[in-house]
Amino acid sequence: MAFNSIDFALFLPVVFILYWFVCQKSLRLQNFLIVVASYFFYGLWDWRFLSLILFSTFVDFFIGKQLDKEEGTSKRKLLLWTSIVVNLGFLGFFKYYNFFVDNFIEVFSFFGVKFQASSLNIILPVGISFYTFQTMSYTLDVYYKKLKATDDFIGFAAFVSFFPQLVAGPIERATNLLPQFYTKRNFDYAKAADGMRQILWGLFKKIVIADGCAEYANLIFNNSADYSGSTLLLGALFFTFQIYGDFSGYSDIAIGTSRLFGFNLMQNFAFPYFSRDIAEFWRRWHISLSTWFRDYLYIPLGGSKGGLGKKIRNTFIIFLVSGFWHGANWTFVVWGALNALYFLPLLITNRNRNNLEVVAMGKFIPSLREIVSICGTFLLTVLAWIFFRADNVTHAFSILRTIGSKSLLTLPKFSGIGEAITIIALIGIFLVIEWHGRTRKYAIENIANFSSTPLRWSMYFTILLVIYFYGNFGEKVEFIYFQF
Amino acid sequence: MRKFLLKALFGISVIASFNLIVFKFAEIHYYSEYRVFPSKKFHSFLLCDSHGLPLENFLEHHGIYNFSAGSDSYFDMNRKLNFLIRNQYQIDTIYITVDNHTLSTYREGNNNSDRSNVYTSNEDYKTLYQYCIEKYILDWAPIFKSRVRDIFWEYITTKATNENKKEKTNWMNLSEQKKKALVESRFRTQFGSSRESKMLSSILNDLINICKTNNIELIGVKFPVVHEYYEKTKNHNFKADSIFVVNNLKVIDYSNKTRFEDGDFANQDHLNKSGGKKLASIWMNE
Repeated sequence: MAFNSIDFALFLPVVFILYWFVCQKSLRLQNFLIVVASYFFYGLWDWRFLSLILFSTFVDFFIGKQLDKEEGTSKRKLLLWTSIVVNLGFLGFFKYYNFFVDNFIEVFSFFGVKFQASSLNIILPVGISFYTFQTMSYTLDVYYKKLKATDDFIGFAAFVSFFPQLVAGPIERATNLLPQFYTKRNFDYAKAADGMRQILWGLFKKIVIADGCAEYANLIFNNSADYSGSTLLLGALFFTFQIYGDFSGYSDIAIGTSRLFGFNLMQNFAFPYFSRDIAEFWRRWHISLSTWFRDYLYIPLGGSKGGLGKKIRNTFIIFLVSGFWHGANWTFVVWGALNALYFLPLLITNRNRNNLEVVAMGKFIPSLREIVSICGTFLLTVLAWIFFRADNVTHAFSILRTIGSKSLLTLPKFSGIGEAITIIALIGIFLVIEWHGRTRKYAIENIANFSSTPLRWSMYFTILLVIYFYGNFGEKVEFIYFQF
Repeated sequence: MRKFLLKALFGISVIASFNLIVFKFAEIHYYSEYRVFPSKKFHSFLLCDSHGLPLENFLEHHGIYNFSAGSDSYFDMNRKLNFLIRNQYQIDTIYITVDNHTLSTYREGNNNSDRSNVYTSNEDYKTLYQYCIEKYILDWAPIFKSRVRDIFWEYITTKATNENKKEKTNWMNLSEQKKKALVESRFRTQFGSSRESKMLSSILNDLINICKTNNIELIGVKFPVVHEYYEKTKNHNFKADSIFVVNNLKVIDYSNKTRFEDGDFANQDHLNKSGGKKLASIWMNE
């Protein structure tokens, strides 16, 4: 069930009413309702893959309990590796099996060896990369003794399957989310109202910005050979806003929905396109994944400690793994490597933590230096997204070659360019709102502070009307990150 | 909680009121023209998209009911056919469009699935839940339908600007430049993707089987298009007609008939009313 579907519009109020009116007296009952609702939510995609979630839940629940009891280092390590192998085994099979088989065949045939293996017709379970990483965070935290293992299976199952963030994150850390399942939750008006506001903004980002851009991004990328450099650059820009609107919109709806049920999820996006360098971009883009890799991969590898060689190695590992996490395609690996290359000069010159505060704090107009650095970082990001969106690496390079040609200086031209002006104008308005709200958790959070109730409501209804008249809600444009 | 529920109720009431306005609008301007039910006196039916519309009711005194609708895909036509069979119409012949574009992904996305649900029953859906959503809930909540939204928006802007966007055109009166631009634009819309719709292709095969099972003669029809458009599209065909040939079914092909002149067309691939009359007379005399 997608957040932008009629199913969800019916599902959410029903679960909300049951949660606060029927199950309110018992925490266990509320958690049980979350498990049932989450399994129903996921089962509408494909009920067969519920068994994977259930199995993963069982494995990590029992391994967590064993880890708590066990004191011996070698046994604890064995338990941890069992969990990692099971979780990554599922992920590896469903997501990467065909990729490795196809690449092995190609490598062997390059050396003239005939390698016998055939790829399988495997369906990728929606959100497998997200919930796998979330359950792994539990086992890792118990292993590192940051968290005590839980004895409540229902609460743990609710943590693993919590429907708002089950299929596309934010990937929650067990230390943050799990304790919330064991704390009495009381309805909080301010929190729920804030959740509704964030849901509204998320829907705007997804339905208006992302799906509006998707139409043109798909047209241009799918027929890239027909277009000039300027049109391809415009296509890359459309994709840049599509992926941001799509993914951050999903995160906003997920966080907002969680707040309706009394939960606090971590912020996943912090206005990344206003970053002044790539290091800042990565502190603001898909924060839950970046910090996951930082905590469970980068730091255990030694992080930025040690010599320059080790720093470079660790940076490359984390970016390549992050790229590969997105999908079994070399385009994602190159995208990761490219970001590592962008990041390295900052790391080597110790400038990777220069821009920690919000840009142009206390001002509406940034300085010229800030404008230049924001635009430069944005351009680098746009170029990297070409690899992310392209069908394969050759396709990405051919797009980049055309962008680098003289045709970049011509006017963009494609079928429907007249209608595209509307979405370009909407992106402009969207950027102004985002810029204005960049110190907040999400751009329209400050509407809550408007003292005039009619003004507040008219803002909400204006956004709803824009969604209605400019949204692409009729077509089924899936959330991009579902495929990861 | 009370405060939250009251405010939520207020928000829902405003949305529901807006939905009611759109609902009333949709009933008049969107559903009523589509949701028609043929008389049982007919035994032959023409199932087409907008290309069948210029034929209006000119074939009726030959016993053929024009059951066509703009943007109908094989998905919608299949629903109509099942409706006719389920409601015990005595069907001898079904004439169905097999134009070059009918198996395009464009047609897969651009169809009447939200209106043709009127011809369905719960057997046509995988689950009862899906049946309730598609047949009832979505009909009552037209604010979730983008096509209703587009028509509603066009209606508002037309009223506001006082311009008639649906002004009837005649291909003959257009400049060469305009003709070329329209041919290009239509071509890109219909053949923008070279991928054939697997879904529509499978439905067309189902439709053929249903006709075979029910002893219904199925005949394919290809409609006339202007010469420029014929030349542009002659090598681009998603091959619905080939599926007919493979199944030994008859195809009547008017796509390259020189008997039609520019004055018979409203645009590059649609006849106008007089063109429709002419086609009906040619068709019935052959």
